[in-house]
Amino acid sequence: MKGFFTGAIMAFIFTAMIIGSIPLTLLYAKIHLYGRIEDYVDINKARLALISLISKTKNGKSYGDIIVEKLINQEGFDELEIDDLLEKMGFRCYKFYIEEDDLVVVEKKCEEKKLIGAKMKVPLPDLNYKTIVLEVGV
Amino acid sequence: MLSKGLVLTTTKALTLLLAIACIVSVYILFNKVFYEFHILPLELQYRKNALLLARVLMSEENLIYVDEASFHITFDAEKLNEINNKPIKEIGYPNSFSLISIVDVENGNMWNFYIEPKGVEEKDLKKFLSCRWEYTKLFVLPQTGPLEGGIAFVRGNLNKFTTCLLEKMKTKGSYYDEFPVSIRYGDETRVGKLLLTYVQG
Repeated sequence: MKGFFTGAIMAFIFTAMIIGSIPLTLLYAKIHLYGRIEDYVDINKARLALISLISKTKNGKSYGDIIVEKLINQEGFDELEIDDLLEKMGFRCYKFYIEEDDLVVVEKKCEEKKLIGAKMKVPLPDLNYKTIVLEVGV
Repeated sequence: MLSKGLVLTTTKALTLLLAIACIVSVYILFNKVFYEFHILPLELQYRKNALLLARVLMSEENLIYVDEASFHITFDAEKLNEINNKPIKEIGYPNSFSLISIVDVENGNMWNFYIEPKGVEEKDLKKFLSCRWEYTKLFVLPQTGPLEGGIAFVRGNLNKFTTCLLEKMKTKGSYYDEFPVSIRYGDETRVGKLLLTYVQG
């Protein structure tokens, strides 16, 4: 009788654990799915920010064209005031850089925020190109 | 004998406690997870609607700059002037209420409009219009201070509108978000923000 009682309890615990693992799996799937959706929303915002930035014009030229010119002439980007624009767009932290040269144009760090990035390849002469990357903390 | 009996009783008691703990854990997990799973599709649905609405606005021909070659993800200031404080009738989800503000973050220009509610009951439409009226009245207040203060002001107003709507009618939920955009004035393009509040009725 004692053995039967212990066996019954063990069987119950085993069944409870099996049943319990179903919501745990669902919980994991939910957290994973939610995280992915959050990331895609933020990536989309980074893309929009990059498109807005390179579409902006100064003296009749787009920032995209000015960036290409500066890359060809190997000039600095200070006059574009990219940091000021990113702050006005409401990003607390950001990193704008040229991937191939490992050249950081502007950067503002904040520890608590994960940076999400968007990349865009800009064409240069002789079938060359550079990748401009904007990572923002949303 | 007394010692052996005590050991057996303790084992049984511990096993029983473990079993009770398992039952309680399973109950809590089921309750929590299934509750959240019940909520998640609804939450995602109105969030998804709001995000898609923002995306559609960014390609809406009556709002964006279009040249002979292509569409641009750039709002046209002239078209925004025409739609300012008016409804957009062509797009929108049924039984939903949306207010949109576009702010030029470089010079502080601002445009406000809303999506005309579709498929809603007349009493809900009246409540929406009354909340929107309250919201519009808030914009009559003079705006002073730096630009970020102005954006915070708009954000606060959109929040007040949502609260007003949530208080007056039964809704499934609301979503608020901001998106970087660009705005074209003739040959000049500036950066801005699209602020969207979406309430699912």
